[in-house]
Amino acid sequence: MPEDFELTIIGKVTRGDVQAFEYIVKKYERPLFVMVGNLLKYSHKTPDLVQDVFLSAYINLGSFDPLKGRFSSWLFTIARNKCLNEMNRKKEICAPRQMETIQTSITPEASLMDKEAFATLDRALDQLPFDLRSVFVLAEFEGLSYGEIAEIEDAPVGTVKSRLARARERIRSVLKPYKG
Amino acid sequence: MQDKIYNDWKRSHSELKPPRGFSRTVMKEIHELEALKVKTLWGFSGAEVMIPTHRFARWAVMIGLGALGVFRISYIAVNILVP
Repeated sequence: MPEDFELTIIGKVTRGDVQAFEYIVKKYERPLFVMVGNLLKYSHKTPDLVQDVFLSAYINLGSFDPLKGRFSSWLFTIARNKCLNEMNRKKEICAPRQMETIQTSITPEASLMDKEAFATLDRALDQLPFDLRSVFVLAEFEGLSYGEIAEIEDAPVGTVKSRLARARERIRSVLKPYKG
Repeated sequence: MQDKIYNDWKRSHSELKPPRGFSRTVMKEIHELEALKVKTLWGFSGAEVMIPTHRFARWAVMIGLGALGVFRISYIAVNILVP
């Protein structure tokens, strides 16, 4: 059971085995990069923010209660709150990084169209309010379940579903000109 | 077509990776954090000792300067103004 093993590791860390925390860092560094990098503008500050999430988690590990929810949800909640604070601090809506187009199109014209469509989708994501964007990033980029997202967002599953539906609708609506 | 673009875009956003050696950097920070927590001989951490000591030193300097000022004023009053 991976979750049991994770709890064993957390127990070790809280009892003073600092190095055991490396398991947590290695397991969650990639998902946290995806989350933070998409909720805030990807920049040189992204690694610092993710590092900050791990430091906060380490310092407050004693307050994690496995009876209240999953460790992953607890960690993602810290990341979500850090992103929200960072956004409020900057007083700006941050755009996600312009991702490189994956080379899936055969013709150069199609590739150009993909790039343009990706930029349009990026702008649509950028324009979503934080609560919709957060749910969208967790569901679509992280692949989390409704239950896990509800724990992170501290909202009922029904609210998560409706937020996700609204976010998807807004995002997909910009693709109307790209009917093939 | 729309589905393909949407799925490719989603995939491109899901492929963010941490820089090489990121976990090592985080662990280094955590070890440094732990080093700050090391208890002193009296059972206090470095920060727990440093902050009150610093505050005490600041107050001691202010009180000292105040005392010097009072002494100076009384010296002037007694030796210069009174005669």
